[in-house]
This record gives sequence, structure tokens and C-alpha cells, in this order.
Amino acid sequence: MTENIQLIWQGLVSGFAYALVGLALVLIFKTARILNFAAGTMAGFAGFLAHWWAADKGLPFGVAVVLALLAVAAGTAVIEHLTVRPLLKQGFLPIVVVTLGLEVLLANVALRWWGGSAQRFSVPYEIDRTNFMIGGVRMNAWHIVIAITTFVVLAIVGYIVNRTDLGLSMRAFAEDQDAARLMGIRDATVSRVTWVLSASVGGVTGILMAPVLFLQQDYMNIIFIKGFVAAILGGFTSLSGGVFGGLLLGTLEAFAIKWAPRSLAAALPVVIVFIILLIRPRGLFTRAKSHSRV
Amino acid sequence: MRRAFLQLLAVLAVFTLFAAACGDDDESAAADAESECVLGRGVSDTEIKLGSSQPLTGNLAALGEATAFALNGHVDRINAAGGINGRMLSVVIQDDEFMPEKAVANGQYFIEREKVFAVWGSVGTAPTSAAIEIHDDAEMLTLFPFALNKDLIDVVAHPLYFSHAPPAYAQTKAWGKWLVNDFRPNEELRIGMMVINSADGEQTTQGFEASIAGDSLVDNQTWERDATTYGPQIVSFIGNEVTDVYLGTADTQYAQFIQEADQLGLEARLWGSSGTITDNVIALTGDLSEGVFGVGFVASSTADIPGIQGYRDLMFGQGADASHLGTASLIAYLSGLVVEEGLTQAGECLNNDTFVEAMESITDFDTGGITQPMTFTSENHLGNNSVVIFEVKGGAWTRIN
Repeated sequence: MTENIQLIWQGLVSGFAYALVGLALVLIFKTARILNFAAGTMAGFAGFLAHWWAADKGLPFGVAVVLALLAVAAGTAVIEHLTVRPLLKQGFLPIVVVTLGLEVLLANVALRWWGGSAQRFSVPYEIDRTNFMIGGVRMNAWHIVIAITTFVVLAIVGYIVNRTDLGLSMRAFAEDQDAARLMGIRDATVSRVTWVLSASVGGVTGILMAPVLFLQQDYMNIIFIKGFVAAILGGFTSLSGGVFGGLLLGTLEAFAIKWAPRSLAAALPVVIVFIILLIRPRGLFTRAKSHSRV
Repeated sequence: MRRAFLQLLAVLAVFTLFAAACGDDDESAAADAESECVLGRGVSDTEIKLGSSQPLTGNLAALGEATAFALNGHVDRINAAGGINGRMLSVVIQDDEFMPEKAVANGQYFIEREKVFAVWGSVGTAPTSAAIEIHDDAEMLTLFPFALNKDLIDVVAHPLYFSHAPPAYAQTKAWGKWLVNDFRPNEELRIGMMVINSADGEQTTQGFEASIAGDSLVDNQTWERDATTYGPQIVSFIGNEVTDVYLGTADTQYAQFIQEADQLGLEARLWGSSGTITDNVIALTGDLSEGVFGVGFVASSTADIPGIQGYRDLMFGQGADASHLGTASLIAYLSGLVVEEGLTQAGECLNNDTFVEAMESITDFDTGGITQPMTFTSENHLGNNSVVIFEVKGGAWTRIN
């Protein structure tokens, strides 16, 4: 029993990261119907920058983290302004191609800047080396930080989307872009805010996962792919669906590694996702619209 | 008088013709000899062009980056000394991200576009195993990759393949024997293994199972290339109360496993495969690396022996730092020494036949202590079959067997 609880916890730790990346992807897709394939690399930049400011420049850890998130947010705003916004009305494909190009560009910048070798991401008081037992389950302090931060980020994003005028604009834009424009909502503002919010969520994930995976040029790419699956599982337009999808995927992976036959262990989570989508093509958390746009 | 003059003229004419004919024979023989020497693909009068497929991006990029330092270092060193038999070396390094399909594409690129003489010092068992078929089909030499598939060293199947890396199968088999006979002869061992989920990983496990310690294997786990955690495997090892865990991974994965083993309270001894014996593991895990083990086939990159001194000089001369020192770059360095010997012995007429013949005549090649002296024959293209065991002591890999 304890072993299974331990497995669930281990799965959830990965699942929190998938959930946050899933959330970042859904935020953009839900609002602007765009898939950001550069999300993983952009998230990794936050980890590298935080490490650079803390370890190389000697800034306090908290300051380095805030600066890294601000830098990623500002960089994303510039990227959005220069590359995404001019293509907003050109449809889905051109922007997706732009994000693919961005991914390659940013990955090479990271490689040139930080090199190909993995680096340790040090956190204050070696929290990542502090372990304790709760009810027979062994836990790591940094994993607790990941869990708590995930819930805080979810709460903040939930508040912004559901309780603010900005969120109302985002939801209106997501519902019907043309109608939203007619109502005076500026698509440029919505686009910029959505990208910055998404990149910030991704940046937090990049920093959270850096001590776990070590800083490497593309250490967030795998998390991005799993986050993508999580978003699909949730229906790609449901924020809570993306989050739940991530947690489910992480837990499924943990149990598949432990219990599934070796030949199936890698594929099992994806097979389960595939079956779920066969049964519910819209994903687990997306309702069918009762009406169609004319 | 006139008749005598004509007879003399006739004799002179015959002699001249004979001499001329003889002269023609000499020249044509020389011409034949020249035309018999067909230079190999990628070999010109002034250059020998080589290719190498490396993971320069992706989560194993550190291995490719370090290896590239060693390969380029050799090329620079050899060229600065005037080349080999008057020919300068060049190497084209292509990124494969450690992905087999990209290694195959690189092989095609080397054959069709770059037309290289040989693929040299590539990194990765799976990429090399995937690319070997098109190398063989194109009759292209595959020289000293960091690949541990035992099928590759079959001389009949792959006559143009040369190696100095004992297969993973042989390494785990030897490790099992050493574990029981020398390391813990009186201890009940419960072994866990975690290898990559592939045919190569299976060979690693099979090697241990074939050893005299094979019966002590109690938990056989695999890992996936897209893994974000090894927590579930560690939970299983804890549940099975293993005393020792062998990990067939690269160094960054080993470091992550060491970290997660500490987080989850796994109290077993950890044994990394040859790719894990790097300073990078120590840098990433700090004090946690103290007491972990490595199973390799070359000396430590910090050993005080002539071969390692040469290796360090070459690497640092190329701008490498301590993080680039490790098994991958060391065996690439070693491969450069042997390839240089083979190319030199092959002589001016360099092609596959002369090179293979030269390589198969190398006996007791001194590696400066990096490995045992290497010998190649027509039946054996694996020059080194010894296994070396290391432990991290005082922040450095130290040989213990």
C-alpha cells in the first residue's frame, strides 16, 4: 500500500510539471487558437537565466528567479509583437510555423550561450537535498515546493482568467474573436497578455524542474511533449482539463513503469490517452457546444 | 664494306628496338603499378576525409561535445606534424541527437555528399547499430565508435568495423564475475539492473545473467529515452531490497538517478556503465556521488599515467574544460591514436584493403596505460576486452580493481 502511495506521489511530481506546461499551452490555444511549439525551450530559458543570475552573477536566489521570469515575460512580449501579431489574421498554420522556427532559434541560442553540458541548478539551503517521511511516504522538500507552487500558479491564473476584466476579454476572445472585436476588445492586447501569461507559467515550470532534470540545452522539451499530451487529454480548451490531464499522465507513467510489461511500459500511457480520446474525442473536460457559429 | 656496314646497322637497329622494347616494359610496369593503386573514397593525394556522427544537441549533447574536442584535437595535432603520408586529415562532424534515424541519415550524407573514407569515433550504440548497415552496404569503414552492441564486433558480418570498446554484454558479464569472486565473495547479493528499453539494453542484462552472479538478479528495470524521473524504478528496487544496482545510462541520467535514490532512500550500492564515468556526474551530484561506482574499460581521465597526460593535454589544448573529460572523449582520443597508426601503416596507397590489412597487423599497440596493449587480427577487430572498475573517492573517480 505504502509503495503504491509512494508511486502516486512520484507520478504527481512529474504530473505537476506536465500540468503547468499543459496549462501554458491551453492558455494560448484557448484564446488565440495557436499552438506554441517553442513553449518548452522558452520555459528552459527561465531556468538558465535564474541560474546565471544566481550562480554566476551572485544575486540572491529570489531576485534571480524574479528577474528570470521578468526577462522571459519581456522577451515573449517582444517575440509576440514582432512575429506573432503580424500573422494573427493569417490563420493557424503560419503562426505554428513561426513557433517551430522560434524553437530552433532559441534552442541554438541556449546551446551557444550555455553549452551542451548539464549543469547543477543550486537552490537555497540545499532544499532539494532535504528529505523526510510523512505517513510512510518519503518526500523531498523541493518536490513539496513544486506541488505548492503549482497550486499557487493555478490559483493566480484562475483568478486572472475568471475574475478580472482582462480575463473576461480573454474568455470573450476565446468564445468568438469577431464578436469580441466588435465589442471593442483589442485583439493585440489580448494576444500579448495571453502570451506573456503563458510564458510566465512555462518559466515557473522551467525553474521548478531545473534542480530535478539539471540544466541542459533542451531539458524542458520532454516536459513540453508530456504537457502537450496532457493538454490533449484535457481537451485543449479547458484550463482545468489540461491540469488534470498532466496529473493523470504523470501517475499513469509511474504505474506503467512499475507494473506494466517491459514492452508496454513506454507506450501504455499514450495508449490509455488514445483510448480515452477514442471514447471522448473532445477530451475529458470539454463539453460539446450546443450551437454552431453561423 | 657496305654489306658489313648494313649488317652493323641491322644489329644496332635490332638492339635499339630491343632496348626500346625493354624500356617500354619498365615504364608500363611502373604505370601498371600506379594504376593498381586505387585510392579509397575520401582519399586524395593531399587529404583524407573522415566523418563522425555525434549527439551535439539533445539530452546527450555533452557526450558529443566532449568527443568532438578529442576528434578535432587529433586532426589538428596530426596536420600540424605534416599529416599522414603527406595527406592532411579532415573530419566532418554531423549532429544526430543520439537518434538512430538521424545517424542513418548522417551515414548517407557521409557516403553520398561528403564521400568520406571512414566514419570515425561516433557516439552511441543505438545510432551506430542503426547506421552500420548502410556503412557496410557502401563498403565504408566504421572506426572505433562508442558503441557496445556485441553483434557489431562480428568480423564476418561487419568486416570493416573496428572497435576498442568491449560490448555491454561482456562488461556486465565480467562485472558479475568480479562482484562475486573479488568484491563481495561472502555476501548475499541482490542485484537490480536498469537499462534502456531496447535490444541493446537487453544485451546488457543478458551479459550479467550469463555471469556466475546471474542468479542474484532480483529486479530487472528499464528506462525510456523520454523519462523525466526514475522514481518508479527506485521504488521497485527499494521494495525488492536490492544490495546493488547497475545502471546502463549516460552520465546525466546517472546523476539524476543518484539524486533521486537519495531522495527516496535507496541504500544500495550504485554501479554506472562506462558512459557514466565522467567528472560531470561528480559536479552534478556533489557529495552524493561519494562512494558510487562505475564499470568501464579505459583508465580514469584523472589517472597519473602517460596516456592520460597526452589525452588531457590534447583536450585542454582544444579549449575543453574538466566537464569534457570522461569515457566518451577518452575513447575518442584513444581511437585517434589507433586510427593514426593504421593510416600510417597502410602507406601511400590508402584504401579499404590496405587499411584493413594494416589494422589487422597491429600487435600490442601501447596506449600509454589507458587500456591494455591492443592487438587486432583478421579474426578479431576488437582491440580491447578488459573491464575496469572505479569508485568515487574524495571527489574523483579512482580505479579499484
